[in-house]
Amino acid sequence: MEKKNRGILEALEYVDRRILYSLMIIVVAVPLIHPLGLPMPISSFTRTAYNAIEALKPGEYVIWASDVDAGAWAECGPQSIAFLNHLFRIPNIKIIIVSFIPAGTDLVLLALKEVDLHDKKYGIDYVILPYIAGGETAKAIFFSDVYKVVTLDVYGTHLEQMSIMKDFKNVNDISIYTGVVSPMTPLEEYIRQLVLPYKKPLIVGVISVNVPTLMPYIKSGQVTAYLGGAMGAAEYELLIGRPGSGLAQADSISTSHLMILLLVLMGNILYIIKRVRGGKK
Amino acid sequence: MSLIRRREISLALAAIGGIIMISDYFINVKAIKDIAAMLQSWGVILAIFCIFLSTGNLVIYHVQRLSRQTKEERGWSGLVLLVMSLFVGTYLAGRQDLFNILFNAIYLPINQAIYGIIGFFLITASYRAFKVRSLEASLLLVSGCAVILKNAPIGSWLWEGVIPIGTWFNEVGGLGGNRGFVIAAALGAFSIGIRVLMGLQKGFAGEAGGGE
Amino acid sequence: MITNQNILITNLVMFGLLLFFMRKANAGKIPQIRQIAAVDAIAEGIGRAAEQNRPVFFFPGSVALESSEMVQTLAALNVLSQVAQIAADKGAVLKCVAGHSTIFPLMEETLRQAFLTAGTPESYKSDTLLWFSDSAYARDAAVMGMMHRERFATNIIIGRCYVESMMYCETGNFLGALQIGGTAAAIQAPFFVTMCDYALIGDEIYAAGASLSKDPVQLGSIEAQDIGKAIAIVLIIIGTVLLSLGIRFSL
Repeated sequence: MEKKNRGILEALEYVDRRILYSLMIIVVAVPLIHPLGLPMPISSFTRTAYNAIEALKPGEYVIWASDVDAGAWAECGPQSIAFLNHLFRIPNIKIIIVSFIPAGTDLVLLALKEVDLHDKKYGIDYVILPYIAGGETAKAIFFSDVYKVVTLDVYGTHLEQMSIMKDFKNVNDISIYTGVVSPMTPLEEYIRQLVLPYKKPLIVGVISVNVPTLMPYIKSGQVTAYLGGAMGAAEYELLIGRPGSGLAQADSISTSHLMILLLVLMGNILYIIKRVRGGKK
Repeated sequence: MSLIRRREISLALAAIGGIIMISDYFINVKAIKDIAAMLQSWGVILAIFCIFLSTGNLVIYHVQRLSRQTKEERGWSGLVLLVMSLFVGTYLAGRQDLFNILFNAIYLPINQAIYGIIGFFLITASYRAFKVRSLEASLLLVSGCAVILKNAPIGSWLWEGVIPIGTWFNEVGGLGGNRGFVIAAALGAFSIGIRVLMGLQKGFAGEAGGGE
Repeated sequence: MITNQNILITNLVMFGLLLFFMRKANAGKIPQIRQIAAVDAIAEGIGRAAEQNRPVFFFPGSVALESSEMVQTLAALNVLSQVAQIAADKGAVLKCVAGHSTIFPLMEETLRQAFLTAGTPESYKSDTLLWFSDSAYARDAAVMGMMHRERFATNIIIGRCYVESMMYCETGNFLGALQIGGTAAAIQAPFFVTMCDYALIGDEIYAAGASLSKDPVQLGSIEAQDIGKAIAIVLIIIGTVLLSLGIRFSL
C-alpha cells in the first residue's frame, strides 16, 4: 500500500507539464465563455487616475503616450481603450497622441477603432504623432520643443496646419501626461525627463509585473497614479461605465490565479510529506 | 595607426559630449543649453543611423555565412528574411491597408502568443519555486500568495482581509526592497558611466578586458 | 545659475569617491570583494560544459544602444569578456545571442578581443555570436528553439532582460542546464532568483565583471559604490529618525 501511495505521490509531484498547461488553458478559456461575474474592488490608484482625468478643464492639453509593444497589448490594450474612451469623453480638451516605441503608433490606431470619439475632430481636438526614435534623448527633446523632433503627423500632414498645435509647443503647455508603458520603456526616463524638470503629473498604465517597481515613484509622488495590468483596466472600465476586454479577462485572472495557488499548495503538501517520510527513515 | 582610428579620439569625443550634457543639467547658461540641445538632436540621428550600421553589419555577417559550404554554417534564412522585410516595408510605405493586415493578422497575434507562453511557464516555475524549503522560501511563499490573491477579484471574494495584506506587501514590504534596488543600481550605473566617460571602461573599443 | 544643487552635490561626492578609490586600487591597494557564489559558479559552469562537451550560452540582455539601461549591458559585456577567456582556456564552446542589433558590433568586438587575449583567436567562429531579431518575441522563440537543439550545459543570462528572463530560464531548467542569471532591474530580479541556480542581484552584476577580471579600476569603483551605499544608508536612518520626531525639511 505504501509503495502504491508513494507512486501516486511521486506522480503528483512530477506531474507532466502538458497536463498542467492543458488545465491552464481550460481554466483561462471557460470564464471567457461563461463569465463568473465576481465582484471587483477598485483600487485607490485607479480612482486617483480617474479623478485626475475627470477634473480636466476645457481647453487643457493632455499627452497620451502609447509606449507599448505588441506582446504587452493583452494587458495594456484594454487600459489604452479605457483611458482613451475617458479622455475623448471629456469635453473640449486637446489630446496629443505620441509614441516612443515603433509599434506604439499602430497599436493606438488599433485602439482608436474601439473608442467612442464623441464627435472630437482630428486636427482640432486630437492629433496622432508618428513614432519618435531615439529613446530618452528623443523624449528630452520632445518635451522641450515638439517641433525639434516632429513636424508631420502620422498621416503626413504638417503640424503647423493643425489648429490643435497652435497652443502646444512643449510639455509646459499640458496639464497631464498619461499613457501606457510596457517594460520596454523604462519608466525612469519619464521621471528624469518629464517629472523632475517640468513637474507634470504622470499617470501610467503598466503591466501587473511592473507594479512593485512603480511603488517607490508612487510613494515619492513622482507618479501620480497608475493602472496595474488587466485588472487595472477592468477597474477603470467599471468607473467609466464601459465594460470591455479588461472586465472580460477579470474572471480568467481569478480562476488562473486560484489554480496556481492550488498547485502551489499541493506541491508544498507533497514536499512536507516527502520530508516527513524521509525523516522517519 | 591612422589619426582617425585612434581610440583616444573617440574617447575624447565621448568625454566632451558627456561633460556638456551633464553641465546642461546643472548649469543654467544659454550657450551650454544650446549646445546640449544640438547634441541631443544629433543623438536622435545617431540612434537612427545605428540601425543602418547594425543592418549593414548583419548583412555582411550573413553573406559571409552564406559563402561557407558546411551545412551547419549556412545562414541564408536570416539574410533572405532581412531583404524580404526591407522590401515589404518599403513597398508598403504607401499601402496602409496591406500593412494593417500584416500587423493585425500576423505580427500582433504572434507576439501576443509568445508573450502568453509566460503564463504556462509561470505554473511550472511557481510549482517549483514556492516550496517551504527554508525561512526565506517560506516568506516568499506567503508574500507571493498574498499578492496573487489580492490581484485577483476572487481573493477579495473569498476573504476581504486579503486586500490590506496584499497591499501591505506591495506598498511597504516590496517598496523597501525596490528602493534599495534603485539606489544600488543607480550607483552602479553612475560608476560605469564615469568609467566610460573617462575611458577607463575596458572590454570593447579596441581594448581587451582583464586589467590591460 | 546652478540648478538641482542637491543632485550636483551627490554626484560630486560620488565622483570624488570614484576617483579616490580607483586611484588607490591602481596604486596597488586593491580592495577585497566578498565571494559571490554566482561568480564562482561561472567558471564552474564553463568547466562543466567543457567536460560534458556541451556549449555555454550567454545573453547580455535586450536593450538597445541608445537605451538608458545600456549600463547593464556594459556590465554584462565585462562578464562576457571574462566568460570568453575562461571558455577558451577550458576548451568549451561559447554561443552568444545579441539582444539587439545595435549591441551586435559591441559583442563581436568584445568576443574577438577576449579570444585574442586568451591566445585563441580561432575560437571565434561564425556561430559564436548570433542575432535573430530586434523584435523581442521573435528572438525569444528562436533562442528557446536553439536551447532545445543545442542542449546548453550552462546558461549565463546577465543584463536588462524583459520577458525573456522567464522564458530562457524555464527552458534551460527543463533541459537540465546550470542557470546563472543576473540583473540590476528590480522587476526581473525575482524571476532570476526563483528560476536560476545562481543569481546576481542588483549591483552584483557590476561587481561580477570586476571580480572575474581583477581589474584594479573596476575593483576600486566597486569600493566607491559601497561607500556611496553606506552614505545612503546613514542618510536614510537620519531621515527616518528626524521624520519620526516630526522634523521635516526638504533638500
